[in-house]
Amino acid sequence: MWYTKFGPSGDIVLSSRVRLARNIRNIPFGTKMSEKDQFMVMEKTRAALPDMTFIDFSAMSPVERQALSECHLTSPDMIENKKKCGILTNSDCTECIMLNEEDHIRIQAMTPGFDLDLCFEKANRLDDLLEKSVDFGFHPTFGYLTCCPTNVGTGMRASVMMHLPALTELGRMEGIIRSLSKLGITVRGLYGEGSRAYGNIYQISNQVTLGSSEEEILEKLSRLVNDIIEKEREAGRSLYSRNKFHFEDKIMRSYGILTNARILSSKEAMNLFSDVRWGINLGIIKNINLESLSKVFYDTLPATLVKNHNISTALERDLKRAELICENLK
Amino acid sequence: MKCQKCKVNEATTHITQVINGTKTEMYLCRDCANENQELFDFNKSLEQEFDSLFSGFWNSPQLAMSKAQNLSSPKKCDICGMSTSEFLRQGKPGCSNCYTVFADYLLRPLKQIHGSTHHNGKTPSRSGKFIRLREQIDKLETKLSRAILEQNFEEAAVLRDRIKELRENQDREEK
Repeated sequence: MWYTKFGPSGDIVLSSRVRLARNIRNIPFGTKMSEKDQFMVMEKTRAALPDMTFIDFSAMSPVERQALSECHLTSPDMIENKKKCGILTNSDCTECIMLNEEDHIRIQAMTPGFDLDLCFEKANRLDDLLEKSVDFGFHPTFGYLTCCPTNVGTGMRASVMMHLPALTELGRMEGIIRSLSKLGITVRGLYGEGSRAYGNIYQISNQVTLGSSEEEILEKLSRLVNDIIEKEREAGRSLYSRNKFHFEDKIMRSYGILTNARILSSKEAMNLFSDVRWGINLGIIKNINLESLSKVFYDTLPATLVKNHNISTALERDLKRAELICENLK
Repeated sequence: MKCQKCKVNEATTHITQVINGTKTEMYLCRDCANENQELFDFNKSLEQEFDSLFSGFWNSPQLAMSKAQNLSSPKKCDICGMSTSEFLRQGKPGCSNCYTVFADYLLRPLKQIHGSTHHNGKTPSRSGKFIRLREQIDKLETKLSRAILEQNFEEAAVLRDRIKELRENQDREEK
């Protein structure tokens, strides 16, 4: 899968994503939608993009939906969504369109590593294709019209998922989050809104969507992300050189627990994965690479485990997680 | 004593209001007093319900004024049926058309959220064609009035013909 691959600046940036929110003119938003409206949104979008695969959510259990959310194909909001909803994807799942999420249409393009321009190019192409047969809600002053006024204008949310253990350890994240928020940039935990930053993974995205062009937003975010990448690399090197043996000891202990434990909760595993990832980047752990680490990381996320291994209890899940990690990383 | 509001019925109710330290007294008939009470309750319930995510945006002195003015001429969206009070309560539009219907209410919160009220990004090429045409006509009309003021009638004639041509295009697009 694309998200386990190593991309540009892949030591720090796990993945990049650009999302465009669009709504069909003259069809009401969310709460005001009738079932007929919901069908119409799905039909119109599917007809406009016949090459994409449609996945219908109506017959899906919450666990199956969550598993799709764990591999970035849908948002956490869609897990409990009561509306008629679904997604359209391309063959490698780097492009995906959510139907009847908060907005009628949410176009997403994703790529491993740091490459927002590529994501925008792909999302923009899908937007152009859709626009040939679908009339979007658009206002000459306000731009693309969205269900929530916080997305109006470009309707674009660009985000970058970053692994920042050194800046977190040095207690610098709070300051960074504060200064980024003054610049219209939001920082969240791994799986978006509301979730906490488990495993030192942060999602950094633009908050402001109205007033600047798509290019300006991407340029600003990219510049800031580049700054953070440099800061993280520098902080990592300095932490390591300052206290070499203690640092190596901490990383190897985490590696030891991760590959030898019998029971691992997802929260504990995430924090251990973070240390091991850090150790691989600094050359302390040499027998595994980042791609195989990412693969096990995604394979052992809760809903993915439950879905793939027919598991029912939390204990079974934590046992299976430990077993898979041991098999693949030892 | 006649009711101070309708000036027809006999006043039966005495109302004293103190707003920002200024005391006002009113003598009203029963119907007018009820209406006044409803308005008061409505405003109060609005204020209470605004305690949602967007409350900070809607609760401004300017908005309170425009709210009061709009109570006499409430708006309603033709597409989704959202009314002014529903819009203010939810803080979110019900459809794309609401952005046009409730545009006056949206300017301030949009400025607060985004620091801007004007889109500067992509325009959809199909529906955007219409918007671009309108902008072009606006610009030419400004030029035309300037040309007339400067008594440059030759240029004015050219501009007038160009505007006419674009208008015809616009009508065709609309059909």
